[in-house]
Amino acid sequence: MNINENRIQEQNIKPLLQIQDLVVNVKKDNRCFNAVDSININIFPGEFVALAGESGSGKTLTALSCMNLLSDNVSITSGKIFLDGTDLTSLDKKNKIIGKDIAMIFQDPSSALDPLQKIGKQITESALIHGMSKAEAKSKALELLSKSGFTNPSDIFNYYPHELSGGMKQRVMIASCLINSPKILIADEPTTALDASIQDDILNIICTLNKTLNTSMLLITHDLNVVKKICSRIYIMLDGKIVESGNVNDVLSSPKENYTKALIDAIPSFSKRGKKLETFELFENDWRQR
Amino acid sequence: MKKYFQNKNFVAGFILFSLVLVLMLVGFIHLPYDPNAIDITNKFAPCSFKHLLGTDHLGRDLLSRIMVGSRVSIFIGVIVMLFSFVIGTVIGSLCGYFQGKIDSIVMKLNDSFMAFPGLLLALMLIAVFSPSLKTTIVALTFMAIPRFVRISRSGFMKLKPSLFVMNAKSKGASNLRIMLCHILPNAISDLIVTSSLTFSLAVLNESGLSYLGLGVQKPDASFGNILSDAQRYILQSPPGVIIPAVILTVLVLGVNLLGDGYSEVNEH
Repeated sequence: MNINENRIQEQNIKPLLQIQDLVVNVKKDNRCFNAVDSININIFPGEFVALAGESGSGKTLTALSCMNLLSDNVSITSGKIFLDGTDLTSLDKKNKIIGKDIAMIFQDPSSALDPLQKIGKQITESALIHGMSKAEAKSKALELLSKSGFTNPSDIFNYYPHELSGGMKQRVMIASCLINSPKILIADEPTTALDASIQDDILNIICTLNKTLNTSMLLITHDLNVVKKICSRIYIMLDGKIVESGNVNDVLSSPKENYTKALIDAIPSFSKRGKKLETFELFENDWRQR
Repeated sequence: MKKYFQNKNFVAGFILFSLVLVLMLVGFIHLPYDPNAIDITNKFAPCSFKHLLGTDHLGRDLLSRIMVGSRVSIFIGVIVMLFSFVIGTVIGSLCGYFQGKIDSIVMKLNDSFMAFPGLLLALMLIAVFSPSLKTTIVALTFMAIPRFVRISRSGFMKLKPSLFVMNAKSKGASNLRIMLCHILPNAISDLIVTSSLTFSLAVLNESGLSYLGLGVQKPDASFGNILSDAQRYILQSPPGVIIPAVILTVLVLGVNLLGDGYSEVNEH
């Protein structure tokens, strides 16, 4: 699973997704601030990379910038995002990249699915938009559904979202994102809204499907246990800046930054049973106090 | 469909509306008399097997006139509803989805339109163009559009930032696709309720205009014409006023109840 960074550098592989000096500006009540402040992220083909940090550190905004989904009061002021050589920040409206080469799983599957559309239609939607034939899209969707653990995919096809449980909805989301075999999948806290008992299942499904499709992943999370399990490299984000990055094992076993240490100390585990869980104060340059 | 028929309001509305609809449909197959045939010797005939609802001051058969009059009412109701639904929803959804300066200009215009009394607008249009079915439809459609603009705009504004719209965008869906396939179906229930109100208001306003002699022209029958003819003889022949008024009420009440029932089912 671990792709050695040295090997990549030796072979001179180009990064698949390259975020260069990205600055994202948020305007609110005549004030503006940089919620993402010149960050650099590289993701290589087939690699699973984690982006971790506390709430409000700019993780999701980074992901939304990649997907061209920023709302009106948020804008990219400088920086570039390259996906396989194409700049995602200057795409025209009729591009065939968003949804085809790059896809995103949202945090809350219950509100991310259209309540009035059948599951089948929602899964095949992005395939049909990007020019797959109806029959092909359907067979692909059924295959993905069965691979993501449904025993009765053709029944699921005709269900409405409200007839499924949260975990099932998230598996449907995964299938709908992977139907075009994207080059990279952005997973924005895919398990946060789910029951603890099925979080592992969902992560396993994402990992195995991604591997069979050779899709890279940017996993946005604040759960460092998850990161340890599936990712090879990690970026730690604080207040819109990357404070630390590197191989997961290196960073988590010997963190250099105080913030990373604090995050690691805040992971609950059996060895800390009975002890008070570590917490930490928000850091001084928190934007809310600016 | 089954859940709608478990709702009392919907069932009541359905029955009332179908009563008038059946009356109209029967008129297409078999009209007892020519609605405009005058038979002076037989004026103010009471209800009998010969004239089921009696005759008016010129001896015209009331049932035939009501059958023909309900055609006009329902036709105008449906056409006004459809036109104002389509035009209003297109304007409102574009405004709600794209927002910006054009939206605020359109909405200011829309608001001033709403502040203008609808019937006055209709009277003005009819004064400029001659009174006819076409003018009535245009005037009533103009009156109904602002409401659809408002409601569709608010629905689109509410749903635009929702996560499933973002999700559709992240799949590369075009704006048109998002508006038609994702937002409109989720916003349509309010629009359907508004449509039912528009239908009944159009029916009422049409009879109002015909009553004033500005809608359907005499001797052609319409609820308003029948009422304005009959009111002069209200003491001589009360059923001549009561029967068309009751049928008009049944039609309007039925459509309103259908809308109420629909919204109740969709809320729960």
